Amino acid sequence: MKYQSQKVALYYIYGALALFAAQILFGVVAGTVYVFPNFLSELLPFNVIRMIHTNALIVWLLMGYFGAAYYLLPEECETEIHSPKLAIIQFWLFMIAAAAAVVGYIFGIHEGREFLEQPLPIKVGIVVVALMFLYNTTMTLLKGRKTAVSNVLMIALWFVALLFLFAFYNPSNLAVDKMYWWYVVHLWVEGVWELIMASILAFLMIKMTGIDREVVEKWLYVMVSLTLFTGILGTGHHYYWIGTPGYWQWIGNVFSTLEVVPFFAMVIFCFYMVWKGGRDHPNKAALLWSLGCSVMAFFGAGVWGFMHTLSSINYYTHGTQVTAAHGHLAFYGAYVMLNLAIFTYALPYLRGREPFNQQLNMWGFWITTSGMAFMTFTLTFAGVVQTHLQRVLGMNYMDVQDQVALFYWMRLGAGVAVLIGVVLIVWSLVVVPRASRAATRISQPAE
Amino acid sequence: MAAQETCSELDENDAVMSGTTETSSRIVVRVWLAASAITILSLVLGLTVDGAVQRSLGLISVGFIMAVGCCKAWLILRFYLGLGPAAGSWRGLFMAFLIVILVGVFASQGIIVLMMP
Amino acid sequence: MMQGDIQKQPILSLGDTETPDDEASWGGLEHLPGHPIMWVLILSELVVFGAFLLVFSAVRIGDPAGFAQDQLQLDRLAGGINTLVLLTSGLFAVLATKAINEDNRSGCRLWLLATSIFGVIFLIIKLMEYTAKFDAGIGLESTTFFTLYFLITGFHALHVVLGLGILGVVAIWPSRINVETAAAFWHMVDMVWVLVFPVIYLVR
Repeated sequence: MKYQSQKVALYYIYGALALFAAQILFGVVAGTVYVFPNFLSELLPFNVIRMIHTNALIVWLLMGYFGAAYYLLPEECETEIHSPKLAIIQFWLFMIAAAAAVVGYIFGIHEGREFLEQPLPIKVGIVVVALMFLYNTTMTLLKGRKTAVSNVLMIALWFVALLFLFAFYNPSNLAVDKMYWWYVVHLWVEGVWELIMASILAFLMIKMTGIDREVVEKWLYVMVSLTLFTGILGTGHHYYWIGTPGYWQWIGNVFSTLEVVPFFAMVIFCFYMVWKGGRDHPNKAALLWSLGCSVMAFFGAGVWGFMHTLSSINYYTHGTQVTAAHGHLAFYGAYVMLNLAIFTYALPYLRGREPFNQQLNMWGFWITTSGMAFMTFTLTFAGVVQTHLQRVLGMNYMDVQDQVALFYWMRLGAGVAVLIGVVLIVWSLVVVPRASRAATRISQPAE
Repeated sequence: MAAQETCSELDENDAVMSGTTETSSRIVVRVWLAASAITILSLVLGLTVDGAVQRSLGLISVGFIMAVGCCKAWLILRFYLGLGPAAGSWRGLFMAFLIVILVGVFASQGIIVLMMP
Repeated sequence: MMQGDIQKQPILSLGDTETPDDEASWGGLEHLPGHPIMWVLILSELVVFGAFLLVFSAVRIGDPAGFAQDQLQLDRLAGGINTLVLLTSGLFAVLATKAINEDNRSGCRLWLLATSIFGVIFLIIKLMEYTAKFDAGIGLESTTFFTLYFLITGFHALHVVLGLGILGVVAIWPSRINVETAAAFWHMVDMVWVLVFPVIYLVR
């Protein structure tokens, strides 16, 4: 850590990890409801549990991006954060807004739009938080050195905020409502979030492999071009059955099929950089998370996305457990692992220590990743069976749910494994061992 | 075409850096003339022999139409873009692209003509 | 800045020629004329147009008679003229590149203008075709044939518009790399049309 103001990232990383733990806890509860349908039904209805599970995810990932930006911008721009104080105020405001939203959900106060359930005042709060963040980081960028990594990251974060504005537009016509809803949901995760992912991976590769910045930047530009080329019109795969014109099927089919290309490019990029640059960096866990991120994103977002993106297949699988399988592995692979990679990389520097608890962290990596992979398989099988029984043979929805109960049990088991893995990860990142390992103290490597 | 290839090989030294070969204006104009002539010829043919429009075209006609299209595409790549021998694997890649389209269209016509009486 | 002990490494090279300077390497893209990032766009677009043309041919298997019936309503003469227009426009783009290679900026600008004028003529003819279809009550959702016809030719026309924009920008700053980049894009738009025309207008 070269710059004092990078320390504000600690708030965001700890906040994100707390919400991460909450998200997984609620995920396990939701998985339990699938096998004991009346579990907590009086206290917490399933829709509220699900809302907290998904909203906590999105909020902690965003918080992680904010933390990552506050950590890497000073190093990229070679200057202090414009106002560390504002960053801390922004953090607490965001945390309070998130907590208020959760409390509101428990009391049934929400807008009912999937992922955008936040009541209007909370949404306004999020915009204020975003404005504080963008002001602070853009001022930092403007006064410092401009690199491809920081430019791509900042452009992406600006668009994250701008696209969120569509959350305020809530037309009464359900088809129109859904059309704009995807502007936020799809253009975030299959557009600008992918740019954030590419830029943070590029930063990690520059730092950990020692490959020349010039080489990494070229890859970054290629990944950005591919993402934007495929991801924007790829929105068409959400417009098959919501009442939009039929030509969206053709656009969605062609472009969303190609969405696998940028994810594949990221796998090649990460492995090629590590292969060329060497694996001598002392923070092995961070390297593992970076490589794992690119691979699991390729499978979760790329392969599992392609499995049901063609309209002729999606006609049958739409809204079944196949979607749930894809959603879980895509979010985990692309964005959860990305955040854990940058946290694992940054925390030792932020706390001025050697990368402690590496073994524990890597155990956490393998347990969580295996758990998520197993969960994805069980949900995929459940989805295939469900599609056949319900959509092809025309069986009753609830009868089908009984038929796939075994898969839900296995999913709950996988969820418990993920919870254990997450405990290990959080423990390894936050808790300092009493007897510090005899690892050599690492100094900040230059590029 | 052979004469043009030798002509472009004179500029081989330039080509090593950029992978492209500069073609002289004279040749480019000739290529333009040739491509335009094929286009006009096929237009005249296509517009006058219009009697049996309703029926599917035979494989030979489709093969001819697609070959003419791909030839024009290749002329553009080779002489407009200047993708000379030095462009290496890229030439093969673009050639493969054209072949895939030609074969794909031809094969679908084959299914239509042969399988559906 | 750089870590001293880590050597510059060559990265993937698609071209057959050696890359003496790894800093200049773009994984083979540097062997193509113009800026490598433009080639990421061009190659992506070739994949998309290629996919669309193959999808079009595959879908036609299901209804050859219907497709032939709809194709009858296309204006083959207009399509053919547009091929000539783009071929001519492409010739001017080559001449613009030649001019800038001889440091002839004003000549380059004139050729770029000629290129653009023919691009505009292409768009006018395309627009007349579309208007005729709309007047005949044919729209984007009339039949599968017309959905694909409008999507593919419309997507191509959008690229002509984008290409005109690029030509315009390059005419303001006509450096060698800029003109080569714009010309590469323009030739690709040209080449795609040369393939779209037979597949959609002629094969039945």
